[in-house]
Amino acid sequence: MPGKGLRICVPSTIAVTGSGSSASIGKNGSVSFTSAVTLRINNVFSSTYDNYMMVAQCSVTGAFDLRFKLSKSAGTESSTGYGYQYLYTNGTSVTAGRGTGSFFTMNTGSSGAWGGSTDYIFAPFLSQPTTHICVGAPSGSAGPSIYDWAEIHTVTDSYDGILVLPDSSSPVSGVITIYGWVK
Amino acid sequence: MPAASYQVMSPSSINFTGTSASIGGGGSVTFSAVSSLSLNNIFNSTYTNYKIIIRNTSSNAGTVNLLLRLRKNGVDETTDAGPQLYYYETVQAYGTSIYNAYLAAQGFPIGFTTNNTYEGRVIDMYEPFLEKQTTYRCISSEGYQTNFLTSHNGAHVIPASYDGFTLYPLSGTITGLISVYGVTE
Repeated sequence: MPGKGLRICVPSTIAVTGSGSSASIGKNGSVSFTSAVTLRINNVFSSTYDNYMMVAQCSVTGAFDLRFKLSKSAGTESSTGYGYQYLYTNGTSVTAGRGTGSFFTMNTGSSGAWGGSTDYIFAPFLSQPTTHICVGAPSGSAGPSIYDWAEIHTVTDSYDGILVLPDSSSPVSGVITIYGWVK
Repeated sequence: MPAASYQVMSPSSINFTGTSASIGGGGSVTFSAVSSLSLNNIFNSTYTNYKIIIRNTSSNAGTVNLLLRLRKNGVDETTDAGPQLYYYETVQAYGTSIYNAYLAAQGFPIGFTTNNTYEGRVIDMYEPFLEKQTTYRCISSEGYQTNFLTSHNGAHVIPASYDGFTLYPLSGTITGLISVYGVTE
């Protein structure tokens, strides 16, 4: 995947919480983790890139959404100013919704199933609002679904990392890789 | 077989109408308050398919479409007075409402642009340089206090080779950064 236009961004540090949890940074920069209730990926955004792609493959034990917050200084996350619009299709059902919240959403599986998402994060390191797109491919008890999100974080601050957390504090295992788009 | 990767592309030149635009050291183009921006000679025979990443804000008081029109030898394919050559399916989610339609336009629609929004778009473009119909897929996030999600899939009906494109809102101006990547084969 990495090339002269897309580079893996290696975090400086990571931190994980959860009973029996573990996490590590692979030789190429991907972050692998098991049984995480929270996972901090620190100093992964920088001035080298404006825009990023994040590919996640995860298994969530009991929750549906996997979430992340923008963070800085290896431990200070932003929990305000998030807005979302989603489009969800499952079988013949198509629904949409909009609202505000305290996190960005990525959809990577539920109830022990494995799923994936490709996320695009625009300008998190710039002191401007951050735009987020999630192309989600969740699975689980509802079967495979399309679950896409268009989101904004309106706080005009610079963020160098993310805090990943499942809803309902259900542990999550998987691999997350963050890439910078060469500009 | 080697894994796919991306190569950031640099246009040989740009044209714009508005305040400013420039090609950065890597090839991405930064633009400010432009009503149109053309990237010339950015598609070539080295790559078949491309990914385009755009982040922009807008001056528009209302909500207008942002379009991308194919171009070759410095000339856009069709004009506003010409036939509608770009066919697309769109789905737009706004609140609990969903709109979808099959339509035609003077360019590939790539989402809305509205004043005081911060918008991100990802476009996959297939075979623009080959003498085949060019197809595309775009997903975009638009909004500030109110969010929109738009998704497009379409084709340009003329099987011709194009080396560039023009980005333009139907009214007003846009400010931001555009990057084009060739997908290695």
